Amino acid sequence: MHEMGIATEISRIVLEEAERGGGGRVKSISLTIGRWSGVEVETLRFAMEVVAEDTSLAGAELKIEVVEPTFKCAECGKEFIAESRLTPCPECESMAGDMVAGDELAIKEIEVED
Amino acid sequence: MTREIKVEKRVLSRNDVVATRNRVGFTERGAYVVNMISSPGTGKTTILEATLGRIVEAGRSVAVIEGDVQTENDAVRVAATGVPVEAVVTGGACHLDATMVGKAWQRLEPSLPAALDILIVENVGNLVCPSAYDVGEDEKVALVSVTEGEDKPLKYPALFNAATTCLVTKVDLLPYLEFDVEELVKNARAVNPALNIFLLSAKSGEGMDEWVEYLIGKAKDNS
Repeated sequence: MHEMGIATEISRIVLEEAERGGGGRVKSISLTIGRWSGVEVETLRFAMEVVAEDTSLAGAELKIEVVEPTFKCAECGKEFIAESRLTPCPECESMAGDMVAGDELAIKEIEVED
Repeated sequence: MTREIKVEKRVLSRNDVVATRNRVGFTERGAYVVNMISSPGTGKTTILEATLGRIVEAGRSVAVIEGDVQTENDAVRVAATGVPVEAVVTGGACHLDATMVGKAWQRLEPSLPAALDILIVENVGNLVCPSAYDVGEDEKVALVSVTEGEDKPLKYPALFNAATTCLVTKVDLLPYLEFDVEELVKNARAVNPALNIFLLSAKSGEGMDEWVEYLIGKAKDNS
């Protein structure tokens, strides 16, 4: 639901970084989005199109890497992908796991064209 | 020619910077800050009114930042209690962010006592987006009412996981409902075993003293 705000923030950071890197048209934006970041990927794509209009981001390809919710078992150390927070460790069935990935929302890199 | 530029930045990094600045301001005044989050209709404002009355009765100072998508109705209700309040009308945004709260804090500051014990931020009614935005609070409080589903914590784990405390509201209605409180508590604890859970009703007053006692216990005594 807050994808518009997220898109505005991505656009701000990308324009700033592109400028700092010498300027030019932004060709692609690589994002890392956790499955549990609260961001809906398709909604974000649409929001980015709207926000990018009439800027040097217009037409930039969005390369999105979706990160699955990953937990590390506190008992045996096994890392596993969880369907929910109630998923037990597949190795020892312990319920005590810490989330190590899957809620990120970050800009990895951009490609800029002269 | 195409150039690759490494960015490696969290999208909400600017919000986090502002949240940190807010936190410094809150700490300087000695305030313990809670960010109340729930879906619309859980009874945030009603619980807030009942909470404020008890904090004031206990001789402690409190102020409110009141978020709403449209109207200042809730802020007007809070102002009627005599507690300093500043409204944030987001104009469509589904959450409060650190900048909105920081600006409201600046407007609020002149009407505050030199030392403030507790600041309560009432977020916009929404269970998803507010949990992603740090506004500089000490803890997030998730509210869920007994007229909602027992599986709310499982459906919205991000909030219940980020929250320190969960208030289960409208428990005066339990005799009329087929709501399984134990199931809700079990689900909430499954998502976050460390969650403090209070069962309460602003209407009957049940559980209110325990909740307010907890809150005052967290606050620094500035008197």
